[in-house]
Amino acid sequence: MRRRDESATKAVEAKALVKVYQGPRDKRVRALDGVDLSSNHSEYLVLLGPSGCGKTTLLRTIAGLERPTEGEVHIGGQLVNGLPPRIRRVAMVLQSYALYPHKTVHDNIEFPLKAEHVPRHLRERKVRWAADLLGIPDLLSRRPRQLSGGERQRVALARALVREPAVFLLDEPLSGLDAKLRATTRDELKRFQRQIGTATIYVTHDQEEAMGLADRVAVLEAGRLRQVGTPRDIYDEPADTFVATFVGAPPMNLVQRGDRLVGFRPEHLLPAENVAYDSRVTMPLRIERMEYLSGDRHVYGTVTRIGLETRVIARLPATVITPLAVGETHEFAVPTDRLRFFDAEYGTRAAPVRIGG
Amino acid sequence: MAVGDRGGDRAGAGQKARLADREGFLAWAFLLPSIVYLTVLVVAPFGLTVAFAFSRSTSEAPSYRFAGLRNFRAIFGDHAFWRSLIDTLALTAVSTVLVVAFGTILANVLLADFRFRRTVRTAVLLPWTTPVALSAISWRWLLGSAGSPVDRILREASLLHGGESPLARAPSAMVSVVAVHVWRLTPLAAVIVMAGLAAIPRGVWDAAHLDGAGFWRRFFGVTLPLTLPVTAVAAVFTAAFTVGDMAVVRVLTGGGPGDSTQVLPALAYLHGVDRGDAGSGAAIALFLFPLFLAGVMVVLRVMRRMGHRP
Amino acid sequence: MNGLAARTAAREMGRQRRMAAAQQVAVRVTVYAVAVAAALVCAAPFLWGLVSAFEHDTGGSARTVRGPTTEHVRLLFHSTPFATLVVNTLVVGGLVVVVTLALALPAAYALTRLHRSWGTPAGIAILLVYLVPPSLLFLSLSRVVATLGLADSFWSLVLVYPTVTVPVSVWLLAGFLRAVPVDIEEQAMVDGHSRLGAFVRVVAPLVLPGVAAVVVLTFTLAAGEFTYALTFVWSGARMPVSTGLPAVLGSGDPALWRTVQTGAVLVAIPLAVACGLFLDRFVAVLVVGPDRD
Repeated sequence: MRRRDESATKAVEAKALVKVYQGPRDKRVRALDGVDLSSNHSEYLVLLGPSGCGKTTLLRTIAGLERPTEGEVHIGGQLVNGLPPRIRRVAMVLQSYALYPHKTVHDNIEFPLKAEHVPRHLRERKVRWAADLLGIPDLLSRRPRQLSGGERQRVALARALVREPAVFLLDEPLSGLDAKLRATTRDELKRFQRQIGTATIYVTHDQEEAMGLADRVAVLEAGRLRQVGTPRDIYDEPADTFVATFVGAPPMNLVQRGDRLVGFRPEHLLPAENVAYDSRVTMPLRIERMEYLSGDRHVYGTVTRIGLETRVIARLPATVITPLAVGETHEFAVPTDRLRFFDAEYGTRAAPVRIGG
Repeated sequence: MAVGDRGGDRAGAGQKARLADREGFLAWAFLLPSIVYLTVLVVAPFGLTVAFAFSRSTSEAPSYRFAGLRNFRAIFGDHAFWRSLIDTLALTAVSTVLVVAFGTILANVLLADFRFRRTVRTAVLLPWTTPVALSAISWRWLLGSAGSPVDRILREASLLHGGESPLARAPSAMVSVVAVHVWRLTPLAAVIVMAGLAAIPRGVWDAAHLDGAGFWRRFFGVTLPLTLPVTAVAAVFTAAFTVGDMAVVRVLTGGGPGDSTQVLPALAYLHGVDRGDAGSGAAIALFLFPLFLAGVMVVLRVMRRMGHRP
Repeated sequence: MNGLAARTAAREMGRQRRMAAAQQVAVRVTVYAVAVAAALVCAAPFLWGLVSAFEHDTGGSARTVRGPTTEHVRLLFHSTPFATLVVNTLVVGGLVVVVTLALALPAAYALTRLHRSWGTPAGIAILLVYLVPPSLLFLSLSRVVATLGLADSFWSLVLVYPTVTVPVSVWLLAGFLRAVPVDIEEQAMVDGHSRLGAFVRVVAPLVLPGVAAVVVLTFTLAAGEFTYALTFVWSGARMPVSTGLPAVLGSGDPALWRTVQTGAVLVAIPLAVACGLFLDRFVAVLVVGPDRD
């Protein structure tokens, strides 16, 4: 499948995908409920969502490990429904890495090439190339059980790489690593993808990871796609309350006002004296708790006046030095253009409503 | 176990000593009955068998009289013994190979999802869960009586002539014994291999699919190497149960025709109980021991290898 | 993609798709074929037994009588000691289950919960005993049994059968116990129970299904044993069904064939069904494996 001259077609396209399967106690579970998604060439697309939202099912369906109940999958412009994984030219790194325990690292990486009957000298060259790229040439004679988590991941990536796939599929690759390793590996994964230039679809439940890595983020919940867009779009213009609260830590504050939910992010909720006078909405905040995290002040309290009495969080950067004390009520404000409105019943994004200053 | 960690004061230390004592004592108390029981009823009788092999004890004169190598010299000179030994080894080897092969295939099939799986699984258990002797009777009827389906099929295929059954002629009688053993033990091997297959992490199968491995490459490159230890265990169990079994022979052919299917355990029983010569019977039975030892070593080797897996 | 290239690629994809689908079908068909064949072969003698149980016995001559008969079943219960044999088997089996559990449960607990350096070797040693063929021991054991005055009584079987059932039961129970996390027990101990109390209250209920599986397997093994039964018990009325039913044939009356066959089928099917219910559990414990750590 030639991909370089196909700027018109997408790398991966999912059309109206539905996946239903028999869950425990014979309950029918709709893991995917009509998903339409497309990914461009060279793009880093992240599927983000809580556990059980269907992101892994979606990934596996694209890979060909699961068959959709309804809908189509296109890879490189070709309909691939019913085709086994190897024909689809996809490579997938599973959460557990799934290295063949009885083979050496070298044989693990070589396995896909053997399966495609690549001649021997070419195989060797490719294995070396992949190992060098991933920085593991000296591990080739070891076995998986002798490797650390990070090393195993690299072997899994090398094994995926040798197939020179049209799409890379990664299923929560960082979840098996400890926190410190996660940050460095994240960086390496991004650089790796830039270097290779292949379309990548990456699954995670960690919104920070998603925001940091993605060219575009697709947010899923309960088998449905909630929003697709750049990290900036998702963050600044969430399509519904789920996206608004799932992305961003601490999550967006939501205050009910009539038939609307008024949303504003913690970093936009500041003591009123720090917010421009002419376009803001003020509210009294009764401070209950304060935390000092990495130079920021996190203020936990209750607001009134703009809607129902609601507990909110305000994130004050170090530059805001307004003295605050637990127990006092202080006037806080949010710039008007930072307010987001949602329908109180359905959670979808709604038209703004005038709020007195 | 986290109970009773380092206490500082003397009362704490005393407390710890008592708990630890109790744990050690408890472990002994719980394990001892089984160990004593098995020692008294397995290890000691084995010693007795060895002793009997060197004795001149019979059921008329049961007291122990040392007889040196007399029994062994007698059976070494007995043509029937050598024939029995070779037959037993051949039977065991052939049965084990067939059982492992069929058992592996069956294990793969049983793991797949299909309708009537429950029924098939239950049906497949019949050979092993049924008392040996009763299965043997059923097979005797199926093989040996005129008018049975097998009889008719064999006649159609011109493999049988006249009024005889497969059990009545020497080579086919042995084949029948092998067949019944294989029939009986394949389910057991299948269950053991099934467990081995199920222990392979699911991700490995997905990876193999993604890597483009077709059916045979998956089988030889992934399935076989990873189930080798389990298959070895299944083989050992099969061999152990085949070599030590006398029920099938006794009920199916009675050792006949003319001693051609008299396997070692049946021969031992013949000498030791039917003819009342305990010394001779014990000497014959002893030849089963090396095979048991070999089996033990294989199992130990497998256990050690499996212990090293992550 | 331009026209020709697109059409060729699409055709190739179509071909691949058809091949993949065909392969899928082939696999399905093979699986069904093997499964059905295996089931038939395994059940063959019993199916035949079932058929002949209700067939009229014409002594090998041309069949003239049609329609089923319950003659053989009747004969089984009236002219043979079948009922007694079954009762013997049930009694012996039941007692053996009790003895086995009494020995194996504590042993399994000791091996899994009370960590001692000799734990694993002891466990393996117990398992290896299972491999010792009864044919190696039956002569000596017959002397032991005679000395104890248990000759020709089913108590001799109750005494000796656990040598076969205990090793397997210890191994399986250890596996089931290992599957229960230690955390639960420790929590119960922190909550105020003694070690034993914690076990009885918290762990035992969770292992109960496993114990049931072991009970079924133990009974099956006890019911199936032949060598010891043949050696230790020789009066017809005291035999278990495993040796008793073949003995019925000893009288040489060919008309009894079908009757005996019927008996065999009546014993075989319940045992297989019972074990089949627990098959998944057996496989599960074998997978987790007592050979962990």
